[in-house]
Amino acid sequence: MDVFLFINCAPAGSTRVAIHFPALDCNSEAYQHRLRFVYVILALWVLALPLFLLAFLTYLHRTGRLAKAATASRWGIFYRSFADRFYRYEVLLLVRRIAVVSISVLWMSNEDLRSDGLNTLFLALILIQVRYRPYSTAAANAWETVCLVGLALLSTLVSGHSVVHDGLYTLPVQVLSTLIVVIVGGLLCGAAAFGKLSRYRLCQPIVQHVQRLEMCTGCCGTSSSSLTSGPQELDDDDEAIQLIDDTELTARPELGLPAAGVSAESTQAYQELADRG
Amino acid sequence: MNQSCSAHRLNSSPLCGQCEPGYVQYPGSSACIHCERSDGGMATVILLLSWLFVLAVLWLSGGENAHTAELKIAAFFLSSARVILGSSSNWTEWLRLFEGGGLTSSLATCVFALSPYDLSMLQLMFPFITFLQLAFTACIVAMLVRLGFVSLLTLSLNRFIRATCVLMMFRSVDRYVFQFCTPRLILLFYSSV
Repeated sequence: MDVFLFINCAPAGSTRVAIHFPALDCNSEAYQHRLRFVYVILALWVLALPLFLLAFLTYLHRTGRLAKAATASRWGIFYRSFADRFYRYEVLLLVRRIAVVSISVLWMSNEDLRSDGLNTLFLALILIQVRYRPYSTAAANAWETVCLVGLALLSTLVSGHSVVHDGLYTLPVQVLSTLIVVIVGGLLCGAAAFGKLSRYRLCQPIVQHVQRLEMCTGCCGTSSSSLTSGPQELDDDDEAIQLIDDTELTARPELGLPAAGVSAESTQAYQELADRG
Repeated sequence: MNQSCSAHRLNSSPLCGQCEPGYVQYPGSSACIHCERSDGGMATVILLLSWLFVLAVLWLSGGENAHTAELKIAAFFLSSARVILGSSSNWTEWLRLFEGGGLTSSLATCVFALSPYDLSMLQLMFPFITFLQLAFTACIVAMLVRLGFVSLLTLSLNRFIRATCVLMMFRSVDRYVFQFCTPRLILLFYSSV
């Protein structure tokens, strides 16, 4: 979103320059020439993308395609992570990110407003997260809470500090903030890669350690989810998915629950998928 | 207006914003770097690093063990942490490595000898370069599938679509997040006037 960088100009003597990059003369022909293109990109990323996603998810929901195996395999990344009734939550996440960035940047010169805005936002986000728990697994909900609490801590830690006028943070703030970023960020990245890494023999000791830790703490231990049981994407078997295009995800031949109208061929294809999974 | 600018900056430019001829400044960096010709080697290194990032996303976002929720949460945390802390925390400057195009600012070495306007456009286009890299990867995979080296079951079209979606969602804000927070530049300009 460098577009905001490009269009954010301020007066400088007889001309105007981009605040983030004063080498750009906002009154020059070269700048004006590129500005139209920048506005197009801005409209695409900030407005069109969330709106399109909202319309797309609503369309999938209304046509009953959200539960189709083929749709889930291709577009599930937008809604499969969330509980059924929160299928449009990804749009809210996009808006949330834009809000965090806007408060941080647009109020950069007013440290009190910036701090209050960020603290209030994260408090509201934590409350929403705790109240609704929109993710489909307990593990993802736990990680989201950890993420928001970590960001709230960071925001509180740097409250009242002007990034424009006060220069660098004090040493304790730098140490603490770096620790939060490294620990929380490391845990989150580890969680994201865990499902993949757990397949490798080299990582088995870590997997066993995490599973032991999970059993001890029981932090995420609902019946269907654990620290390692994120929402699993469907297999990548396109040919089989084509065969079961009309198969509801609830049709689980391995459980003896074929969907109505599912052909023997597609049931067999689904069985193959289930076997592979 | 008489002003004393820092090294290799034009005294005649507003707020000392422009570098001397033969020097370039990358968005997000405050230094004017000697750069008369683009360095093809460095550009290739950056493209390869970016490609590695794309491959990592492709790997993480596909298959039966994909934890896309955690992946999205991690991306949100890292990008938000960077924007909250801003440039006042030089201990977390390494987070810039996640921003791809911002790598040029972090390396502080001559890569592209372009005008500030073209450099800005290049930064703006960087997310699209990752899409091109993903498309290029898809072409390679399609070729390997046709030759029989790779099974279609391993790398399907759906996996590439999912990876594109992940890149699109991450990049839509991350680039903005990382590059916007450059108050040190503002400080530099205020102090030099």
